[in-house]
Amino acid sequence: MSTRDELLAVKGLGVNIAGATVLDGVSLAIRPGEALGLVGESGCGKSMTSLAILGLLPRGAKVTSGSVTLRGEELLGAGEDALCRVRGGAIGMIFQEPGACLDPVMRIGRQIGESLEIHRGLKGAAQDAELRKLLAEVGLTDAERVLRAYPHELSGGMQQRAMIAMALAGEPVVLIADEPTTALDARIASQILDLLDRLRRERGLALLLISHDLAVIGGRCDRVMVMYAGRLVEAAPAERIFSEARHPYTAALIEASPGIAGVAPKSALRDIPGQLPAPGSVMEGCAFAPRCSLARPACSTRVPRWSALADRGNERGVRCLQYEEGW
Amino acid sequence: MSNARARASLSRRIWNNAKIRYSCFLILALLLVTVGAGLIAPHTYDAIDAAASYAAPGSNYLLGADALGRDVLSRVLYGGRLSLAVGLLATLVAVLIGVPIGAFAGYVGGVADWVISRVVDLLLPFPVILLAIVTKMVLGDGLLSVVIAISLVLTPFFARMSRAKALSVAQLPFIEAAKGSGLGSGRIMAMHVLPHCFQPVLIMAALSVAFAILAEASLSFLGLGLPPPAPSWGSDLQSAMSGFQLAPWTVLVPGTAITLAVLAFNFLGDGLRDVFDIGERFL
Amino acid sequence: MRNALFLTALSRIATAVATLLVVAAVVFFLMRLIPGDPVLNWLGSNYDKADYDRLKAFYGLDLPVGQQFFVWVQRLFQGDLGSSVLTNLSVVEELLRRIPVTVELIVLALLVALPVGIGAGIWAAWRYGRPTDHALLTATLLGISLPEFFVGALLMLAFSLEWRLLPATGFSRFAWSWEHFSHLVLPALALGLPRAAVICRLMRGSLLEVFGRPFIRASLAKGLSRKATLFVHAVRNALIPVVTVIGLQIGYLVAGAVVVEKLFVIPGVGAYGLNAVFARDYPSVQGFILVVATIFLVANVIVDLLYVWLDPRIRIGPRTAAA
Repeated sequence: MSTRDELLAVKGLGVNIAGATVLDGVSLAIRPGEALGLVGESGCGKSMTSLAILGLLPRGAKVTSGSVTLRGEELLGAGEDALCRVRGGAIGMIFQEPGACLDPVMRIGRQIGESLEIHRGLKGAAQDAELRKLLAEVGLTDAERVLRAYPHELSGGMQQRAMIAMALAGEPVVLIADEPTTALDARIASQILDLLDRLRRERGLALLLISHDLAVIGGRCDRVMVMYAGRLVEAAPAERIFSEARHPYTAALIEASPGIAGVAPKSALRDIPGQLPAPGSVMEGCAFAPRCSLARPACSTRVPRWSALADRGNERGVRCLQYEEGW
Repeated sequence: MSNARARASLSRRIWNNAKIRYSCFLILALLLVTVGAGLIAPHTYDAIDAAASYAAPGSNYLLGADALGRDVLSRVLYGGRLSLAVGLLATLVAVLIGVPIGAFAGYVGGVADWVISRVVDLLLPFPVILLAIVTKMVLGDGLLSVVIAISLVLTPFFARMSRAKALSVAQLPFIEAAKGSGLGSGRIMAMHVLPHCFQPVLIMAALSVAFAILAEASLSFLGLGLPPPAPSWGSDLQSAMSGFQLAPWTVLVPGTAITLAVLAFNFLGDGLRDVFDIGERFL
Repeated sequence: MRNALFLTALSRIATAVATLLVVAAVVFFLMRLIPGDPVLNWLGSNYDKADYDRLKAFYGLDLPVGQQFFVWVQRLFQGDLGSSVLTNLSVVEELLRRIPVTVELIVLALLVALPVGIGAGIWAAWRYGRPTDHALLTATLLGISLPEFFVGALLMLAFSLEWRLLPATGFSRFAWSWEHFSHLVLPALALGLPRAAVICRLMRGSLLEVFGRPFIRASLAKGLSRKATLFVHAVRNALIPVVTVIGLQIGYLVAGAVVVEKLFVIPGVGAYGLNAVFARDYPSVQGFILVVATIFLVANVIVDLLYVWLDPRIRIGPRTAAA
């Protein structure tokens, strides 16, 4: 991919919390209208990546290296005013648990209206008209009731639709969805994913879809990136990831996922043995080595490099010693 | 083994907390000088010297003398006995009554819980002065009625807190296991429920002593404490108000003494809360 | 919403009236428990048997206790609390004259405590862990350790005796004049500042808890500045638990008002009650306790309504829903 049509690009991003490394050399890029899936177990750094993009890292976390550019403009270290225009403006974001992400004591209409006011200066009647348009777009039909409702008066699915409307209010070009369906039941979850899909096509949004669940990512994205313990371990086009998983972790993740679209589980559902290393624990060698069935002694001493598997650079690659010389 | 280590590290954390260390020194010092007032005080608290009326602080009267020529320092030292005694006694009574009642209500539940909770809700926010006035009128003058009045105010706080704690402990699996092994409710309460209340009770007790000292001072200030000439910080300050302009030390000395004592216990409670890491939700 | 507010108001007022009746009954019977014959107390040691009987009948003390209570409640509902043993003035009239004074003092103290406490709490939380925060925490610890009367005495020393800016003691009748309010500035500060310290600590703790909630992050993610997020979203949510505790604080304010009235020689309900207590003037004491309990309960009803208004999740009975 040429860098010219990249909308959002993250390069070599590193983040520390109190001296412990939580992100190490994370790179990704999205083009307009494209859906990129970021997958990994909880705690692997997916959310940290999305927060770092918006400059919303928690207290104590520090970016140590890398860059984040939006349409070629650097966001890391940008002023707070500039970032406020990007957040909810060019980049919209929705989170897990919509119920907890809405202010419990403010009516939905005002919460969405806030975004319209700060990013587009819409007030009064103009704002009201735009609110109704947004609600219709995200499939909330009873606008009258929803606008006047408090968050607790809506169902989980409706809350998430309201969150999406809020994210769309600033007319974003990038939409980051961090585990948007984890807190919802399966039927509602697939409705929300359909909605995100439709919005991406209709608005030409670049979508960064983050999930711990390969099944959620697989069917909806053009490309998939897999993260483990703060590092990217594999990247592949979505249609190839299930059939041609190269990293042992990806393979294990696929095996552990129930009924991935079109792929029947090879064996009975299996958990990946062991657990994610504690964030910041010293990572000599491959972080997955202790849980990897293919690990050799070298795996626990040498940090694997990113090996591009095709001539398409970042789009097909893996971080595993198997693909390096001397295996 | 790991339990013993946890305890050791907790006591080290307690000792390493500067707030706790300094407040303990201060409390200890206050206890020493007030209990030992008889040895330290240069005069007796009721020695009247008409010639020394409103004598300024100086060599004979270190912190000055009051309207009747009584030594302010000596009165403050003796008066501290009352404040600290009321503070500690009222808290002790409130803990001994409130904690078991609350733990019982939370653990047993049902009608007993309902009744106890309603009484606690009713008593909880009631102005201390009202309770004090009523108990004092019923029980008459004396240390006992002051202590009872203040502990009446404090008890519902301990009951409410230990009830909440007992409610959460009662749902833990090991309580089921204890029941299964045939332990009676009383033993389970004593062995498992009450120990869980220990840390929050300790914090609240420290803050309660502070509150009780303040309350005693306020009651004495209003003339609802011990009858004169018993020395008390609150009543001394009140009687000094008439000569405030003439002899500010007669007001400032007991006022500072109250603040210092209350501050010491508030600091202790604050430090304990830091160490035990429990949210600031009570009082 | 409006309906919910109305229903809550109704249920709170009903509870408050019931509580008041219980308090009245308890006070009545406790007064009867006081050892000694009150009539003997009033007459002193030299008395005439006929006087004694007349007084006893006059105050209805010759009736059985149950009947006395019945008569007392009956009169209470007619707005009659009897008359003072000392002055023979109507207790209700005397109290009605003094209630506005005490209520004004408490309201002024709240006008000090709420803005100062909430403002300082917001400031401390905003500067969490930095010198400002530590300084405010230390100041509030001192604030909660100072008794109202000592704060008052110190203020008096500075503003009245030293700088002669404000009158030390006394009172002047209500009017929209400096003369009237100048007498209340120091009392309101003495009563309000210790409460401000408590409210500041509560507000800080509550805000820090809210800062960790997901909707704060979501608010930042939609482009609101940190300051706007603080004031638009965080503060209102943080106020909810603080308001519930302000109900408790009102108890302290009512108690503190008695102390402050004595210190600054203000002719309020507290001063009246204290005199009655010392004189063992039982009708006046009963009236005083009822009035203080009423002020306290009315204030708590207002706090409950404020709570419903602040938190749309609460429909009726904040206590149960808050758990």
